[in-house]
Amino acid sequence: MYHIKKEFEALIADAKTEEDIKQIKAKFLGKKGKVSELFKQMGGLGDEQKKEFGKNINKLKQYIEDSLTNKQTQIKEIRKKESLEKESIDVTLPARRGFLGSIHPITKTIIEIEDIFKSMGFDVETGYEIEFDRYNFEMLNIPKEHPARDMQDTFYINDNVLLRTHTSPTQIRVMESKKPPVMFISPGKVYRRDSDITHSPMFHQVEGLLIDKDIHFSDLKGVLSDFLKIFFGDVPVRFRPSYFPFTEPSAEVDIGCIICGGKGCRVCSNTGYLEVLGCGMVHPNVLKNVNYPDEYNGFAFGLGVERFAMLKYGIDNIKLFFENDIRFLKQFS
Amino acid sequence: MKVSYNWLKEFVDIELSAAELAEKITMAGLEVDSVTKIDTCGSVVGEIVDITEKDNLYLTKVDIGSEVLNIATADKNVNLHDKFPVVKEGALLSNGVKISKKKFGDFVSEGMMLSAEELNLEDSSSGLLKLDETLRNGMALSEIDEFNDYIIDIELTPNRADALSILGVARDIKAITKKSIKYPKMDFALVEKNIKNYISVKIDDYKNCPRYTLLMADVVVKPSPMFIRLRLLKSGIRPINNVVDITNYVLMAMGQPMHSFDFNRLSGDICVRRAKNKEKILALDSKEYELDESMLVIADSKKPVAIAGVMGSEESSVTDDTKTVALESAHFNPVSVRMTARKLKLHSESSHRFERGVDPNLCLTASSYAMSLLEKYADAKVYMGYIDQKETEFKPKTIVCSFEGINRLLGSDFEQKAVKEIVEYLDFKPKVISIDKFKVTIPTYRFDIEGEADIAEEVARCMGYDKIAPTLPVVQTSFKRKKPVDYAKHQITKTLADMGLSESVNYSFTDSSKLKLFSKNEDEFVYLKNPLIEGQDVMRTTLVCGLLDNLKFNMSKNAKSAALFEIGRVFFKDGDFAKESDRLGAVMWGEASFNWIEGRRFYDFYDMKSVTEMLEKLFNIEFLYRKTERKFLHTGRGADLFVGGKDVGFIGELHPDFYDYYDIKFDKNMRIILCEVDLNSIAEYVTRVKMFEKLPKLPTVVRDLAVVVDKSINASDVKRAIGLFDNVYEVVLFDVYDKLEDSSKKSLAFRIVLKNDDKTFVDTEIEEIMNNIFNALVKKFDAKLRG
Ligand SMILES: [Zn+2]
Repeated sequence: MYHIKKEFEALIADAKTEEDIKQIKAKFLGKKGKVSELFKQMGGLGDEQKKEFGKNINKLKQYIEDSLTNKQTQIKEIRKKESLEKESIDVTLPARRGFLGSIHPITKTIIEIEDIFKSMGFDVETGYEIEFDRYNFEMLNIPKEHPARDMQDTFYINDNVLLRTHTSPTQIRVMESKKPPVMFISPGKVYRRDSDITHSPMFHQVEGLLIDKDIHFSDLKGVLSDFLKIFFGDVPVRFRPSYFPFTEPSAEVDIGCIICGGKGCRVCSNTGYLEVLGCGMVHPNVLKNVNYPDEYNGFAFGLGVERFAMLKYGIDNIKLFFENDIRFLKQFS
Repeated sequence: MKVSYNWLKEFVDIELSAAELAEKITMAGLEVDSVTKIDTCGSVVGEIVDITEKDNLYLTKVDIGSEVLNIATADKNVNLHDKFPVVKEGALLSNGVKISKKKFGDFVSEGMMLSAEELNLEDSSSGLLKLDETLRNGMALSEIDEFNDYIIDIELTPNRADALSILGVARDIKAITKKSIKYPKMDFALVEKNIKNYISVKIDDYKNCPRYTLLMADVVVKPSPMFIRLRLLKSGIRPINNVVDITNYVLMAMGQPMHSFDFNRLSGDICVRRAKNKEKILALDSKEYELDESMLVIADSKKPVAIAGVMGSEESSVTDDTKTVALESAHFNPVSVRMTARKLKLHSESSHRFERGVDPNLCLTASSYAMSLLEKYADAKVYMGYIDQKETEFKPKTIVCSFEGINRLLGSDFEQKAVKEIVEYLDFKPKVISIDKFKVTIPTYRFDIEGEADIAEEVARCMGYDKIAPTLPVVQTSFKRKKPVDYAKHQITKTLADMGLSESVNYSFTDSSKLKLFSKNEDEFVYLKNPLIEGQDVMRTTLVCGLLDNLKFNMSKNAKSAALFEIGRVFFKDGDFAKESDRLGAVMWGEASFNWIEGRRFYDFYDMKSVTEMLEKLFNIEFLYRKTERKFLHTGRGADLFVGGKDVGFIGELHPDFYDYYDIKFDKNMRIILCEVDLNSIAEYVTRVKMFEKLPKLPTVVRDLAVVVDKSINASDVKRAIGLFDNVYEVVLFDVYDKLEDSSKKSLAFRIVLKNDDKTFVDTEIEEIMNNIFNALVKKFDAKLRG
């Protein structure tokens, strides 16, 4: 009996196919199989011995049956695996549907800026790109012959109509049509008669205006500092006195240079700071021009979208925005 | 404006280094662009002790203290005992030039005498920089105060006319650092001649010339002393002679533009009047200007001798022969000067200041300062008396402010005492008039101060904006509704990018000759009055021009394909104004795919149609595709798009003729497909809600139907006809075959999903429905079953 078990174990260990299993099964458990032969040998034994011997044969039989079933399952698993392996593909090949499109970095930047201000409760307004001189200048406290007009070389359509030189006319448009309080930003294209390495005759600005009761210069500092820290990461922000005819006090806002970390480099002209925003408390004359009641005041700001995009994405030439080279655009999917 | 650090120190005590000072005034509103230390290139004082002329060259011996060098120079104005900055061979100039020995015959030049140009003090010099004769030979220039200096370049905002001088900047430094101003000496002796016996002044136009003063003196014209020449150079002004230099020196020092006339070249008395039409004047820049009646001139009895506040005439100017000068110090209306300077395209240091505003009370102070300098450096004998023509006094304005109001505007907590102190240092002479109110008197040089907000800014900038802690505003909140067009723009941008198109951004102006090819109506064009370049002279009425430019650009960069879109404004003339509309434009060209699965496929009409179908799905609209009437589209492969009976855009291939205009070779595989849709026209549909449609209650049944129809029949019409049947739930066109034996026919195969809400279909019912459908197609389109 011991030899039979040994023989079986040797055979089953070598078994590779279901056919092998079948043959082994016949050899040991078939009608003329080795186990059946053993039963036949029982005839010559005494009762006690028969009982003992029978028990052992049944044990062996059970053992062989179980082993065969196990082996069979194993073989099936291996076969299945083998057939799947045969269907192998190169999973590193590119997908059928490539996601090759892209959103222009200017649009991406505007969307990001909008999202930040919207989360603070600012509305989004759009203005006209072709504007009256009155809205672009006069209502903003820039009368004709004001030297500040030199700061912005203007494209004219006729004597009274021009391509807006900044998004600020939207301030007037909105305040003329809405009662205070108002709080909105307004992104859009603006135009200046200027073209060189750092200037494009068309570029984009985002204007912001918040008018309510009892708004302070400190609020302007708080809102813009937080905005800049969200947009650029945790950078130092500083406010510097400046001049815009339509705000008083006015400020220019610098962030610590994100290229050199404030140590000084070519981008920041070795100052460690980058000028990114102009802002101020809305000039009393402007509020008077739109007939807002005295108890209302507020702040306004304007930023250059190209500048923000250039700093954020490390773009070094403003021309790239308007050439629309696909190799450039596709980097912004 | 460039200011010398040392010169500033003469007007106010400065304990800060030049760099620290720059930082300090930048943070107080005088933005410093750059601080440059003067590079003397290691030069020393050298005295010419011998000169020989040879072939237009001067071979000199120059004593530099420790030795005498041989130096050759081409400058004719070298005289024995003149002193110049000298560098020896081996020295490196700041322009990168290295000095080496040069041979001129037997003469070996061992160094170089320098001009202001080589010391980076001006762009181009006409001669060597003459030094004071009192300087010790061999002394390093870097040890001389005027050379051991920094030039601080300040970018002044237009409101700060008061700071357009050394004194002006010093006043700000004084206020910020709490010091006091040191005024220069301005006294001089008088001679026994009275100006009133020589000249009189009449003002015809007090509005544009509120004040005109004149002083006279006999002078000796010669070069200015070194410190005057150097200070002018550092300020970017070229030295001429002592008289002219001193008027410029005072202009830079105090901000009062002045003009010196050669008295003997004037004919009769002075009149300040409007120019006559077409009156001409030869100005000091040697150019002739034609004037008109809007311009103010200073005239003698014969002709204009100066364009008021802008520039004097050459014929009345001071020359080397001048013996007597009449010194003008006047006040002109900023607008008048600005208009004149702009019309003549003539800008000067003088007009720059008058345009922005010069203190009307400064005239006589400045001319006294000038006279005291002329006495010292031009041997001036000043006449008694002066002419001072004006109609009124120029009184400072007063403003009443509230301490609380200032703090409220700033969100600050500044103490009354601190506010008062700053205002005092600004020379605003504060007077507290009640527990919260104070009155300030604004000096007549501060044109920018009008009200409390301005005073608040002054306080804030002198305190430092960093002294105001950031806060967040308390506001009345409200919900904000996104505008339909903005909503549409965002949705479309995101979806098109997902679909594989790249967004472009183009200039809003374009080439009118190109735009005419694409526009039905040139009368609608909005032209620019002053375009920057010829090819950007008109506002676009379509996005197509820009997109085709982009395509062309990318082709030039060897791109094999392009699928671009743009969302932007187009502009149409509307009387004197303009109408603006938001458009979506797209262009496709080249390889739609080039990959291992699909191989190579080119963009065609149906790729672009996924854009219009996307719009239909996104906004629940249905375009009517009508045969195009746009001349730039392929007549057989283009459609005009209509929604609600309105033409809202187009889709189609570019007409083969148009490839020429863009200099693109027509390739029948690589067609250019365009699309444009007016977003404002479809915006009204954006907010419309599409209601839920009930799902079929019972299992649906799917049947296929293939029919043969004439090629001219639109598949969409056939599909729509099938969809009309009540039981039809969905129709999918899954095959179009046009290579039939009869070449005028095509086969269309549809998968039709049938539903029945009442009961489960029985086969005979299905057959009946399919027969009805087929019969309808036979009737309507003369369809045949595909055999
Ligand atoms: Zn940097």
